[in-house]
Amino acid sequence: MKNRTASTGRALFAAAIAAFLVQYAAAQKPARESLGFYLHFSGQQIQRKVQNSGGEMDFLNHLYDGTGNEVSGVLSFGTSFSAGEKWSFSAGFGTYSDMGISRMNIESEYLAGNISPAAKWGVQTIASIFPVYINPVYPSNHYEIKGIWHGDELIDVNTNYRQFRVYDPGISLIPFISHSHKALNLSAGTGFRLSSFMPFSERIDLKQTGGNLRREIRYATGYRPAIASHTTATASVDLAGKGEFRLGIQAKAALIYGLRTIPYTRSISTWTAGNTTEERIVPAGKPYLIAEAGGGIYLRFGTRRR
Amino acid sequence: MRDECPLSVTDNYYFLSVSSQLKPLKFAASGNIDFIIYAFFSPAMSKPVSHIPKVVFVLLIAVIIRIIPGCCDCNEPLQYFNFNTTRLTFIDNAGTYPRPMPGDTMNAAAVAIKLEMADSAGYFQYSRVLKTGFPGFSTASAWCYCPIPMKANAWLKQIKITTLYPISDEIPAGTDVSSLFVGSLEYGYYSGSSLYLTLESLCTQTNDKTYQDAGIESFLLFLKPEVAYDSARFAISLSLSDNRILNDTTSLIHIRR
Repeated sequence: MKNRTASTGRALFAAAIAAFLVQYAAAQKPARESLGFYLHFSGQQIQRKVQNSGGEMDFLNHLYDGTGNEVSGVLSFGTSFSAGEKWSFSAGFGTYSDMGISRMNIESEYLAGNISPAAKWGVQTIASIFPVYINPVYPSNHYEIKGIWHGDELIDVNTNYRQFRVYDPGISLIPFISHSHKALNLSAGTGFRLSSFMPFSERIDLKQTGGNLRREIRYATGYRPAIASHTTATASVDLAGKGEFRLGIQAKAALIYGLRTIPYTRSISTWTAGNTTEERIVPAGKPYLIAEAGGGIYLRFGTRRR
Repeated sequence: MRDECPLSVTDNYYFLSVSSQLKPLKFAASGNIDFIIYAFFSPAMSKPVSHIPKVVFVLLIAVIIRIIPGCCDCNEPLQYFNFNTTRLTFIDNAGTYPRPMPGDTMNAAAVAIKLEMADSAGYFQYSRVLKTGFPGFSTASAWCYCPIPMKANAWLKQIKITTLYPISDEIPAGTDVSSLFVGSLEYGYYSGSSLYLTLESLCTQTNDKTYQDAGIESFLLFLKPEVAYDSARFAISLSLSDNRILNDTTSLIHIRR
C-alpha cells in the first residue's frame, strides 16, 4: 500500500509541477518579480458524522478518535513567487503535532481582469494533499466477520492498536476576487475540488480460541473521485518594509465541503485461501468537511503584485 | 547460492568479526573505508600534522568492525538426501499460536499434529558438522559460514490420513480423513497470510525444494471438525515421488471438553 501511495503521490506532485510550468510558460514576460516566504499556524477541523453502517465497516466512521470530529494544529511553511502583474505561485508544506511533513499545497493564481481600480478577479488552481488518520475498530456484531464458532469466540490475532494514515489528494479550481488598499490586500473565492482518498488495504486474522479455525478478512479500497466545494479567503497586511523588502502578517481560511465515502471489497477466507467469498461494499456518502483558519507572517522581496 | 556483495570489495584487508549471531563472518575492507585505511598506513602519516586521521580511525575502529558488511562467496555443492524417517508429535493449538505440547490431551476442536520427515542419517545444521570455529570461542570466525544446500531425491506426492477412532457419528473409525485436515509449514505463519494450506499445497511445495543446512521437512496438521469422542488416533501415510511410502501412527490423543 505504501508503494502505491508513494507512487501516486509522486505522480500527483509531478502533475502539479507540470501544470505549474505550463502555466508559467504561458505567462507573459514578467515585468516585476517578487519572492516571498511564509510561516503559518492554523487550526484544522475535519468533520464527518458517524453513521450507522449496519454492521459493515465504514472506514470514515473511524477518523481519528471515531467521534466524527477532529481538531488539529497545523504548522505550514512555504515560498511564493510572483511573476509580473498577473501570475503568482506558491508551494508549501504542513506538519501536524507529529512534526512529519504530511501536507502539501501547490498553488497558482492568475489575475484575469479588473472589476474596479482597486479590485480584480482571477482564477486559482490548488493541488493539495490532506492526510487523515484512521483508527479502525472492526465490527464485532457481524456473524461472518467475528461471531461465534462452535461456542468459541474468534479473536483478532493482531492485538496491536490499529492506525494508519490515508492521504486525500485533490485539485481545486477557484475563481476569486481581490481587493487592495494601501498595505492591505484581501482576496476570496469559491470553486470546486476534485479528490479521492488513496487506496489502501487492511487484513484481520481471526483465530478460534480453543480450536483450530482460522479466518482472514481483507479489505481493499479503490479510487473514488468526489467533487466538493472549496472556498478560500486571505487577508494580508504589510507591516514594515524598506525598499523592495516587506514584512507582514497574513490570515487565511479555507472550507472544503462535499459528500465522501470509501468503498471497498471485502474478502472473507475460512480455513484456506481457496475458501473465500468476496463482496463489494459501498457505504453511504456523508457530508465531509475540512475547515481551516489561521495566520502567520510573511517576508517578501520585490514589488508587490497588486 | 552465491551471496551478492552490496559493496565493492577489495581483498587486501580482512577483519576479524566477533559476532553473537550466525551471519556471514567474512569481513573485508570496502571502498567506504579505503580512505581511512590509506590514511592510516600511508607514509604521510609519519608527519605530525596527520595525527587526526589516526585518532579518528582508532576511535571508530569498533564501529567499523561492526558495520562493514561481510560478503560470502558461497558455492557449496548440492547435497542430496532421502526422506526415510518420520516423527509425529502433538501441538497445542488452543491458544493464538500453535506450540509444542508436552502431553497428549487436546481440545476437541484443536486436534493438531506436527509431522517431520528427515533422512535417518541426520543432516541437521550439516555445515556446522563440517566446519567448526575457534575452540572455546565458537561464534568467532574469520571465514564464511555457508549453509549447505540440500535437496531430497524424492519429494512428497500425497499425504493420506486415516482415523483409527471415530471422530463423530458420521466419521467412523477407518475413514480416510485427509480432506478434513489442513496444514501449515512449521514456520510459515504470517508470511502474507495466516490461513492454513491444503495438504496438496504442502506436498507441492516439497517438489524441487532446496533445504538450507537441514534435510528436514516439517508440517503442522490441523483437524477441522471437532472430535465427538474421548480419544483420537491417526495413521499417516506419506507417498513419495519414487513410489516409496512412509507410514506412521500417532500416539493416542485424549480429548478434553
